[in-house]
Amino acid sequence: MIFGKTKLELKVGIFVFVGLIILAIFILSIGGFKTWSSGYRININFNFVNGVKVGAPVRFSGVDVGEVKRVSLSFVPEESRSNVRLGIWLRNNIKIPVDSSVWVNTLGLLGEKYVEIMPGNNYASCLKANESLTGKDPLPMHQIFNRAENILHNLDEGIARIVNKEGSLGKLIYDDDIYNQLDALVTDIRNHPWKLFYKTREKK
Amino acid sequence: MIFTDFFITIGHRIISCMSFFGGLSNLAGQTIYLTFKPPYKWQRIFEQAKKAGNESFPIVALVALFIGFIFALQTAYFMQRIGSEIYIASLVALTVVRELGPVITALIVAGRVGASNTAELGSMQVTEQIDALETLATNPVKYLVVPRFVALSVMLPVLTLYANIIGILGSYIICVFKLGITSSMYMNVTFDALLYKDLFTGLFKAWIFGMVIALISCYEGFNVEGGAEGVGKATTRSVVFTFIMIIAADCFFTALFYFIFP
Repeated sequence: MIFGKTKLELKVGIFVFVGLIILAIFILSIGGFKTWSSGYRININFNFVNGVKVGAPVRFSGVDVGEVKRVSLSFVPEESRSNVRLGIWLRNNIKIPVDSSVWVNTLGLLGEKYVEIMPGNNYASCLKANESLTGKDPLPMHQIFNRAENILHNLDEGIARIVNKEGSLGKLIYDDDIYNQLDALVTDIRNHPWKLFYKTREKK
Repeated sequence: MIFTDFFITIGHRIISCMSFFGGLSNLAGQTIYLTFKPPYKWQRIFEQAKKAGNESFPIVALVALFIGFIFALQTAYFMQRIGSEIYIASLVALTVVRELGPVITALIVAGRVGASNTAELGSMQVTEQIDALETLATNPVKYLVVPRFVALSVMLPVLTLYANIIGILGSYIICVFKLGITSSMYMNVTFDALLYKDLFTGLFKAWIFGMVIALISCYEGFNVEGGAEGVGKATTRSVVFTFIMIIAADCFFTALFYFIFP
């Protein structure tokens, strides 16, 4: 049996121990057990990644299967360009065909960035640990805006011409002439429907 | 004459405020020094730990559960209007772990343990037992304050962990059984919202609150003057000052963490 002093220490010990278990539960749940489940790493090369950060999710066929562990920037002297290499951690049971396409996608228009992997067909050869894949570069936001701006600019010019009664569309809308002529035509045909069947003789 | 009285009052207030913080810092310095100086009084630390931890647990658990209920219901009132009930889970998780868990636990422990510390030490002071300890070559700070200091600073984070999990459980009960959020969805959203820094800044604050409670309650206990009435006054002052200091420290550390861990 346990008496006095030992019993007191036992009670305090149990209390603190349960507290530590709760702490462990919190830590494991926040970390999402990722650190302890086994997986492998692959690398994906990009020219531009649009702000992907360490910890960004990786989706394969739209399912979260891993995360970005490392983002490193290096210079490739042979091709004289900068290369962004994303070190990606994937769960062990995920097989990535070598002909998969990879790009950086965004949740919503300005939301969080993630790496999207669209599976290819060649399941005979899958990526192994530390192998690399080349990703498709996302279109930078400013290019999208530039293109939208060009389109809007052209549209604007067209509309301005219509508003200024220039061009055939402008004349069609603003000129009464064609309306009057159409009106006259319709009235004429109503009054003399036989004109539609009457073939005028060519004058010589 | 009335002006003189006015300035005398101001001067008196300032001096008593200075002497309070001065005495508190003095006690804090001695306590921290003596905490690390052997011999360690394990038995006395365990006694205080049981008083501060195990015996405070039921009330902390009860209050945390109710806080969880209340928070879920109050946020549901608005969240249902904008159709995002699922964010109740993340709101509750963040609020309880970052703020309410540590602060509510600290306030309960301050009322329960801090008040009893002051009353105990205060009655020892008025019956001259503290002087008796000194004549027996026992340092009263080592013998009385250090065990309370160590016990409270260890037990408050532990109690906060309990309060966190019970608070989340309380809101879980409301969300799952009343608002129709599924259990696994609730858990996912809760732990998606939380980061390590949320948990650890909360626990750090709890640790600071533990030390604040121990130091202020013991300081007030040591400085009791007069008889039984003095003990009563000191207990009131102790609880009031502890509450103010807890909220002030909370404000300070929340602002600090906000700027250093954005």
